Amino acid sequence: MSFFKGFGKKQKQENFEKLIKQEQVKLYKVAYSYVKNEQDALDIVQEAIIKGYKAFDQLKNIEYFSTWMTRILINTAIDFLKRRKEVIPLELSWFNRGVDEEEKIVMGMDISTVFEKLKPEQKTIILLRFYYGYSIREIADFTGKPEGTVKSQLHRTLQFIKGKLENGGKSGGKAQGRY
Amino acid sequence: MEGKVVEKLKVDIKRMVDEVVVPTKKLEQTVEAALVIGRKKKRTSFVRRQNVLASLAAVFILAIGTVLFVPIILDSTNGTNGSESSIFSQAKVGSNEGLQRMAAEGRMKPLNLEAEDQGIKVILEEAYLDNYQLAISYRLEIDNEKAINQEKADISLEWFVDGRSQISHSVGGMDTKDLIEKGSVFTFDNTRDWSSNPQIDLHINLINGVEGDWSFSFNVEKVKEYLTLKSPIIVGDKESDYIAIGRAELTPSMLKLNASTHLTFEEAYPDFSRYDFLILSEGQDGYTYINDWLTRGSNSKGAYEFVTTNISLYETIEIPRMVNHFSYEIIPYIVTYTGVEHPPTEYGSKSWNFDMAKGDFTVGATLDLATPITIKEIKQIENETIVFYEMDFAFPIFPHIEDWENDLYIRPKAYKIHEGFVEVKYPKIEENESIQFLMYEAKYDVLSDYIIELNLN
Repeated sequence: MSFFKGFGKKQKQENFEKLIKQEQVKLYKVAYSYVKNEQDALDIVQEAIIKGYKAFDQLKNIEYFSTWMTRILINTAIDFLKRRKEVIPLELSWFNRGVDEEEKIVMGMDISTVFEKLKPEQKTIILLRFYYGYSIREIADFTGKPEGTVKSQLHRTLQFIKGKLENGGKSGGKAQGRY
Repeated sequence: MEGKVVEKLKVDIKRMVDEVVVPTKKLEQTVEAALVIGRKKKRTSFVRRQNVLASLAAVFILAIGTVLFVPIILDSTNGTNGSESSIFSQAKVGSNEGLQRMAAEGRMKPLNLEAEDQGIKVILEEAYLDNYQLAISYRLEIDNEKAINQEKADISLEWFVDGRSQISHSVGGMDTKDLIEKGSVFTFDNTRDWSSNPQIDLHINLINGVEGDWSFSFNVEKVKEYLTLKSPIIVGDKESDYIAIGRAELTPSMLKLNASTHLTFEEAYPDFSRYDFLILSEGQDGYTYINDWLTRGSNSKGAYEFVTTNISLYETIEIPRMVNHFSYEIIPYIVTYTGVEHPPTEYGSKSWNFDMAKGDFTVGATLDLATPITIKEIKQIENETIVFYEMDFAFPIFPHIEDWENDLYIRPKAYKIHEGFVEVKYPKIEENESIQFLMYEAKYDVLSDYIIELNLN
């Protein structure tokens, strides 16, 4: 594609800038999926773009720009969550809340709520598999993990999701307090 | 896992991501800011300090969260150390009552650092650090045509704590004119794991579209007070309906709560019903203080939509510590407004017009509500304005005061009940013709079975 020919530093800058503008909406949506907060998602996108800009020279094949930026974004999102050490207000598992059939159906449809309960690495696997459509092998390449590890992580994550979708909050845990 | 379930999951995940609403303008600004920072060739040394950092791996942009922010007029109390002139004490500068009290108590560290580039001078005035936040007050002096002509300011910066780079942010939306005349405040949260006297390095790269280099380095000692809840508090039946405080953290400037609410109602609430809290504390002066929350944030689906038959909500609530109290009463309630909903905008934003009563800021004025409120007396004392209301007191919701000329919305801060009237304190209000009382016409349903007593002594 003639768009990718003719590199000079300025040309490279312009190429990056054009390419990133094509990706920016998708990057934001994926970042938001991790943090469910507009400003945090914007922060992640910004940091990822800066990293990408600085590392752009290392990208050998420009046709993989989208995958390459996605990797940077996901790693940035995971680092962000680790640094933030988000405190979950109160885990659903604290309480064994009776859930009637209608609620099960409602909760069953709420994939967004279940997704929020996943750890960052679990979110990554689910997004790569079901949003980006990567194969196990591609996920293994992406994450730098062995295929077997990816398979078992995916399986455990899917079991967890299935459990949440069917049953809602799990029972167990001892509640403490004054009442 | 069954094929059909996996297929459904694929569809659901795709929809979950694709349906994310994109803040287009903010995203474009964010991307542009990132590209500007990415283009910068080299680091420059900081204005002050010997310890120049090694190469920087990331950039940072600060944003002011404005989830449910309402501009307030802050009490310009006398304090030691010249706090009257502190930027933290002024209205509409991104400060809050907690920081204002810290300024009044002389807890701000003077910085008096300046950096000038491209005809723009940035002055960092004071800093405050505790286990909730770092706050830095600053002003601009602008002699740059492009920057001065941009009505709404935006600033991008990198920052480091003890040499560790922090995630990028940007701050924007303030009036450039206000930044020059009044100044503003940067706030950074999640400071609990910082050292007790960290070195902070700020490197501003972009002001109102002008690239430049405004760099600062300083240490600031952390105010150590930090109290947490020993065990969660649950009110109600954990098997069915309850409200709980899972976590509470208190620093001098802020009380932060993690709360969860699971309630179901036999009858649906009418339209325009919202779930809210009053957070009260008793002062030794005989007043009950109304501690307004600054932010409520939640990832729960439909978190702050109108209530009908149930509430299922995990949230974080941040309450600036206007007064140095350690015991609170958290009163949940449902408020039902009357009014109309406007058609959504082209971006899908909704808005409503709720009925309200207004009254002149004069003795004898009446707010014509279903239960009328009459202004019996207005007293101006040194740092406060006290209004005496004739009203049937049922629930501590009182009129607010609007100063439409200065775009200020002033909330009551404390009250004392007397026989036949209620005495309500406000921050000091400078009287002018644009001030009036206002109050929504609403019904309040106090969820009295779920009131929480929170003690952090």
